[in-house]
Amino acid sequence: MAETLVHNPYLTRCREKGEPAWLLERREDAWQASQSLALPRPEKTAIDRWGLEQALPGHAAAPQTAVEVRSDAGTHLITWNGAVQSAQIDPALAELGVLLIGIDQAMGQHPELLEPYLASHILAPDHLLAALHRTYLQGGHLLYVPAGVEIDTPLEIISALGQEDAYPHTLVVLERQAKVTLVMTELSIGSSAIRVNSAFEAFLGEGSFLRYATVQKLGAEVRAFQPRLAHLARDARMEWIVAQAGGGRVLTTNQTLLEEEGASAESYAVFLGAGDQVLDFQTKMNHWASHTSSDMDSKGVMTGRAKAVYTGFTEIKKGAHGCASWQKEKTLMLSDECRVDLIPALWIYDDDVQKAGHAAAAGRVNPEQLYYLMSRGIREKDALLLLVTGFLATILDRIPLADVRDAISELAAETIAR
Amino acid sequence: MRPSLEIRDLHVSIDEKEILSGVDLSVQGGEVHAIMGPNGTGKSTLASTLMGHPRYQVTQGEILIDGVDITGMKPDERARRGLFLAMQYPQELSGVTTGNFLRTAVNSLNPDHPMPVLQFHKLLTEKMKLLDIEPDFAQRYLNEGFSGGEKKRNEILQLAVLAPRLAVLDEIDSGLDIDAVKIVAHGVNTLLSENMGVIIITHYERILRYVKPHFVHILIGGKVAVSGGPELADELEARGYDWIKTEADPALAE
Ligand SMILES: Nc1ncnc2c1ncn2[C@@H]1O[C@H](COP(=O)(O)OP(=O)(O)OP(=O)(O)O)[C@@H](O)[C@H]1O
Ligand SMILES: [Mg+2]
Repeated sequence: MAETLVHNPYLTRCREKGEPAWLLERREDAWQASQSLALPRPEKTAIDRWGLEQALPGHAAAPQTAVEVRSDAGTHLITWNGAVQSAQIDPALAELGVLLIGIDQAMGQHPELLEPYLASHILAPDHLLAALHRTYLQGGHLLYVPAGVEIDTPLEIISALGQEDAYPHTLVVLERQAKVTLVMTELSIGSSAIRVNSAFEAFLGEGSFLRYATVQKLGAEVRAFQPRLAHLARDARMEWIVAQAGGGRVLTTNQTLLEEEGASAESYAVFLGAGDQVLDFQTKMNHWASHTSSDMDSKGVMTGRAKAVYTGFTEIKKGAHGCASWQKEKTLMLSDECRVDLIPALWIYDDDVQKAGHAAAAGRVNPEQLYYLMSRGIREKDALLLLVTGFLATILDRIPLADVRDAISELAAETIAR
Repeated sequence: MRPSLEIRDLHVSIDEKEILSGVDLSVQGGEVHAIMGPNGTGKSTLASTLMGHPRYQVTQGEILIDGVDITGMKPDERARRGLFLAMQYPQELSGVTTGNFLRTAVNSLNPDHPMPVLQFHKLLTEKMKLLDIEPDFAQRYLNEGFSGGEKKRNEILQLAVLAPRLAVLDEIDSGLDIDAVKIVAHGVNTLLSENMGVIIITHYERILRYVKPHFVHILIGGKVAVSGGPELADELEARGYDWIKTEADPALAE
């Protein structure tokens, strides 16, 4: 590491705000590390011109005009560039010790909850953008569910971004046997020519369950790095529902670390691309312990000149016996100019594998099906939408949240219309 | 206005190969026309060309609906002018329910007056009853895993719900048991009026016992070789096609 420390005025700002020492230290370490780290190098996407490493967090000021974002969920949190706009919690949940609050509030009221988790873990291998996130993370969301608390109705986070670069952080901590569904929507308001370095990190205690549905519909000019990471303890179960639709240049990893025996994860992902969008989407399942299982099912719909690289990555570590893993990825291409690369990667180092495999397919619209629909009077655009709906059905049918299903269908319709 | 379909000197090619070489046919509302002919003579080609399948190229002639040339129109536009084709081999569409598909179709045909959900549901239920179709049919994905007979019945259900002005039924009776043929025929007869003209493409005079054709046309070698009344179907049943080839056009006989 460099001997001479490079001064960072943002860190002074954090110190003046009175952030806890451990966080300042982590920021400082990350900042110094960033000096010698390089950008991540996804295999097939050149990200060096995206300018993500130049993003500086703004002042997370509330927008001039009130953010017109509402939630119907009884328990919800709405933020603007990471700063809380509105928060509501069902009193019964509050009574049980459930927290759904801004990261800044958590820093003031429950620093001890944050300390074990915030900005401490890193994506391996470390790289410049991850280090910059730990340096600059600003605002965001904390969901904390105490041991044994089971929440039936979905909780909601709406993260509105815009006007300035942003580094929001979302932290989910489930104690043992906690069960919850969290729906998070990311959208942009106003000028969307911004850079976003947002991270999601979840820690699932023993036997806990998290269903995390995330709908990313940022504006078409947003450039974003969006790592999402989950750590699963013994017998924990995670269900990812990822709808990746927005942003002009996006690099996202959705990684599940199955760290202890019996942990399992499922991932249902939809990615959509239109216009000039470029998306590098990685889903990773890391089997680090025995008898862990994972299932990934991803579908993409591409049109215009959009480009997507999808990597499905499964690792089974040596010594992790009796693991089961399956991945499927499929895309539907609606235009001649769109491009998709599907890269299934299986790294299996243990000999005792219960099941491991993948299936990948990139296809185009079947003209006979299109003709059949149109012969009933259905216009080409509507017929395409039916075909896309049908294509996505295997994933939509797995999503037990009607609002999220509708949101995805709506985004698919918008994608086709663009 | 009573619907009318005029096919004039229609020549059609697939991949440069001519399949239809001058078909003439005129169908008015209230009329039932049967088209028969050996395998591979171009019956489905004619049906697909009428519907506007992109693979079939019209190289000569024209198709008029109510006096308007539709030769350059897309299938959906033709459908909105009242044309319907019950296909010989209907497509399967996973992930789209028959009900959702049909509602989209109904609303596409009447974009200015979208049908309220309840009204559509009532219409669908009524037509399913008419065709002796199980209620869960509407929830099933379109033709996916349907038996041959179920697919045919679904085509007729679509016909019943969409109520076209000109219907072409391509081998709607193939693969149906006798009871199903009667049900399908009953469905067609119920819909038949001055406001709908029908073309039935078939290999069997069986269905023609239940849906009485006013005209029978024999298509051979991409042309209408003979036209006549319903008695022509009986004659075919008894004598096969060879005599036509000899009598109508000795050149076709060898
Ligand atoms: N999509 C296609 N590509 C190539 N050739 C085709 C295609 N469709 C039809 N043909 C050819 O055109 C000719 C007429 O076929 P068509 O399906 O119209 O016959 P048909 O009279 O309907 O026969 P059948 O009684 O068996 O249904 C056949 O020689 C067939 O092989
Ligand atoms: Mg045929």
